[in-house]
This record gives sequence, C-alpha cells and structure tokens, in this order.
Amino acid sequence: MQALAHTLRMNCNRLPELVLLFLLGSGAAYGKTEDFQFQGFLSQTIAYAPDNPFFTEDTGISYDNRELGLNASWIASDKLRLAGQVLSRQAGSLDDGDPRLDFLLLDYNAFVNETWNTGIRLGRVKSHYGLYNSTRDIPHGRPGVFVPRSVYFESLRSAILSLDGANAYASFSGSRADIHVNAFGGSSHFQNDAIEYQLFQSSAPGKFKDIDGAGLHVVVEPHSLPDLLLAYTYVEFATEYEDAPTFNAAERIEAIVALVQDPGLFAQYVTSMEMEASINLFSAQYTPGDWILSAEYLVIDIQFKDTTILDFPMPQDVFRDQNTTLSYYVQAEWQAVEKLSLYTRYEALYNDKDDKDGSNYAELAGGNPATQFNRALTLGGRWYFTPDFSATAEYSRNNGAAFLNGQSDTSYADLKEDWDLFFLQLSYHF
Amino acid sequence: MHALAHTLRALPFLAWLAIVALSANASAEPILIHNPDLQGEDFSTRSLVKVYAMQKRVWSDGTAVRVFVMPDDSETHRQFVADYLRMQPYQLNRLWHRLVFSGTGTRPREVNSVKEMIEQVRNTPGAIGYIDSADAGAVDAAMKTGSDHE
Repeated sequence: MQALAHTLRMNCNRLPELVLLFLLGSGAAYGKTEDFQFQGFLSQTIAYAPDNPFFTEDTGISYDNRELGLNASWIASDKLRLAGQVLSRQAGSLDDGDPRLDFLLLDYNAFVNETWNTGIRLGRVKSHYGLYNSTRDIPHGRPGVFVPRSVYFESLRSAILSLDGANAYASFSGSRADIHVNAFGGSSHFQNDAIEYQLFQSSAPGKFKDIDGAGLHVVVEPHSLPDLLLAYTYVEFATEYEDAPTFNAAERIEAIVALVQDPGLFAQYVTSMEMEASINLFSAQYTPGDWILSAEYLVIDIQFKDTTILDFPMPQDVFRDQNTTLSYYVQAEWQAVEKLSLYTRYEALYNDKDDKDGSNYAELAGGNPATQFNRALTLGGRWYFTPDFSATAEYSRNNGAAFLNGQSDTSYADLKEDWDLFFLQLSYHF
Repeated sequence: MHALAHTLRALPFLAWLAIVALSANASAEPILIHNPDLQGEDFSTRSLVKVYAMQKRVWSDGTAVRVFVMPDDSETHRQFVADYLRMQPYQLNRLWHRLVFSGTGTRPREVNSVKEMIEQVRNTPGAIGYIDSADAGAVDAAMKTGSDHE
C-alpha cells in the first residue's frame, strides 16, 4: 500500500513528463505529419582532466557525460502551438541522467503582420538569457563542447534555464532595425546542490529549493549592419535557505569550538540565509560570411539578507552580504570548409570584482584563492560527418579554478591554479 | 613499356578529372518556386533569409508563410542555400535547431521528392520552396516570378 502511494506520488510529480510522453506517443502514431514535428539529439563526451577533477571526484579520463533530448511540437492552428522537450543529462556528479521536463509550453501567437509579431508562451518556458541559454543543452546549438563557462555557469543553471510561468514576446521589423523583446517570469527549483558548493564550497544541511525569477531580453539587429546582433538581458532571481538545522545551547558551544578550529565548516552552522541576484548581460554577435564573432559581458550583483550562523548575524569579514561577480568572453568561429568549423575563445570570470586574485578571500575565509577567478583560452574544431552528426575536439588552458565551483565531492583546497582540459564530443541530431 | 608506365601513372589524375567533370555536370541549379498567389512579393536575398530563418511569419497580404525544403543532404538544397540565401546549410540548420530546441519555433516542412515539392507549393497558400532548374518545365510561370535571382 505504501509502495503504491509512493508510486502515485512519483507519478503526480512526473505529471508534466507524462503529458509530454503522451504527446510524443500520439505524435509517433501520427508519423511525421505536417503539423507535428518530432526530433531529438544525443551526445557523448569524453573528458580528460589531468590536473583538476572535472565533473567527477578524480582527475583523469571520464566518460560520464551524456545527453539525450526528445522534442515535439504540434501546430494546432495558425495561432496556437504546443511544444515540449524531455532532457536526460548525465554530467558526472552534477546531473544524474534522470529525465526531466526541459520545457512544455503553449504558444499563443496573438497578433502578427509584416511589421509585428507578438504573443505569449505559458507553461514551463525557457529563459531568454544571452546568446546561448535557450540552447545550452543542444549539442549543435553550442559554440563548442559546452557553452562558455564564464557566462553560463553551472551553479546558476537551474535559476536561468527555464521557469514555470509565462513569456511574453514581441518582434518589430522597422525600417532601421529589427527588435525582439522577451519578458518572462515564474518559479523554478534547484536540481542539484551546485549552488551550495558555489556559495560554501561544501554541501550544507539545509537546501536552497525554490527560485523566483523574472527577466527581460532585448535583441536589436540594425539594418545598416545586417550581420550584427546586439542583445541585453536583465534577470532577477531570489532564493532562500530552507530546512536549516537548529541548535540547543550545548550544541552551539560545541559548534563554536569547532568553528574556531576550522572556519571552513561555517556552512554546517548556517541557520538562515536569503539570496537575491540581479544579472546584467550584454551580448554582441557579428556573422560576416563564414565567421561568427561573439562577445558577452556579465555583471551579477548578489545580495545576501538575514544571514545568520548559529542564529547570530554572520560576521561581515567572513561572509560579505554583498558581492559583484564579473565575467566576459570573446570568441571566433570560422567555417573553414563546409564540413569543418574551427573556434577559439578567451574568457575570464572573477567571483568578486574587488578581489580578482582571491587574496582577500584566502586571508579572511581561509579558502583556496584560485577558486575565485578563472581565465581560459580554448581552441577547438568540429567536424560534420553529416549536417546532423558531428565530432568536436577541444582543448582549454586554464588559470584559476572558479569554473569548477559548484562541483560536489571536490577538495577545493587542493585545486591547482593552472590546469588543462581536453574534450572529445560526439553528437547526433535526429 | 615506358609509355605504358607513363599512362598508368596518369590514371589517377584522369580518374580525378572524370569525377570533377561528372560532379560539375551533376551540380544543381536551383530555382525558387512559390504559390501562384504570391506574385509581387519581395524575394530579395534579405527577405528570403528571413523566410528561411522562420522569422518572417506573414506575406504582405497577411497570408501565413509556409516554408518547404528538400532534405539537408540534397544537392538542390545545398545549392539553394548557397545561391539564394548566401549561407552554408550548416548555418541554416543551426538556426532551425535554436528555434526548435528552445521551443520558440518550428523547422520548415521537409518534402522528399520534386513532385511533392511542386504539389505542396502549388496547393498550399503562402507556400515557398525550390526545385532544380532541370524540373522547371513542370511548373507554371506564375510560380517562378522569384527565380530571376542571379
């Protein structure tokens, strides 16, 4: 009986997935009729990380990185479209491969003429963030094996990937420029403990669960420079530390003694915390002929409120209540011949713009300074066996280990400042 | 004997020449076709890029745009994308992936034969597609007003 209740509960949680499976099933029964489209993708990545562990506990080769996506869309009428996608992502200790609903939305194309195209999407909608967020999990949508980690970092993935809510859109085709505006808002959930590892470099007894987010994404394509695209994204999100432990007087004294010996344990004793972040992202992409030149610049202002440790306000010098993260990348992709594209990227991420080398962090919190910044130079190439089947090989030289923040089971104190990373990825779209 | 050896050495080159000549012969010359009701629409490269990127949703009279393509690996498709859109098929494919996998749009409808392409474009209001010039005789002049592209 209990097992049945458990199964039912599981199935209720899985309701959106079941709806999509039904949709996919009925689509498969239909075949590829003109109003129904069904497609998907899969990828397998081999990573070789000789210096620092990447996605896993140990250095060396890992095969533990796979993606499988199934996508369906149904055009119900000129104005109404239903689209959904299930994604299974295995990414070392970060993602366990459980299938989850990436998006499932109803798109109502309210008004369209030669100049305007407006509408609203309801359901689980993808957040519009920068150049690549909406296709960050799609192998051929990425400029390499992964999206640039400086701007699309893993620990904020749940907060910026998709939201259960609404997305209103409007496109305007004017005489001087095309302008596309997306406004979105809703709620989401952290799917792993990467946010704890990002903030504390360890797991914590409580959890960050729910995320409330909203944002605006504006794209301008000026007609005077037809290959240029400029975008601005603003996203705000908030989350709260829940299920925090409670301490009686004796436990509190014990904890204080432990903390004095090892301040790095403070995450175990956090009793409350709220986090608010506002993200400003500036993007530019220029695509003359066989080239794609891209650059993005990100500023995240993070504010912590009501942070208490053992029910006392957190000392400011250990955990500041305000922080600004800066990052950027510049990237060039070149379609050398029809089947081969080559790319290179330089990127930098500074967790705290006022502490670019992490020395303050090392002094005050006792952590590894290298975890507070990351600069990287990446070289890669993608060979298309067919338009849908490709192999991508990539090499990155890293200085600083901030890209590894968010990984669980990682000994952050031991991370090396200079490290290499090699990838080989096979991907197939169908 | 010496002459024979010389000829043998030349064989790979001759074979290569033959392949080049054959593939040049086989190279498709695509022409744009459209539903007969779309005469007078803007079929410039800029407009066609928007149509094939699935950004242009309606024609000037308000008819919904319906885009048809041949399979990715067809020579007609590759030539059409290069000649009319001045893009690589991979770039276009990438644009469609972005639409589809972000849930913001759909790809063009794919047809599997020239016959199907012509029928769909003829019978679907707002439809646009392309065929090889060798098949141009099978469509009326009213469907080819955008084909004087070069």
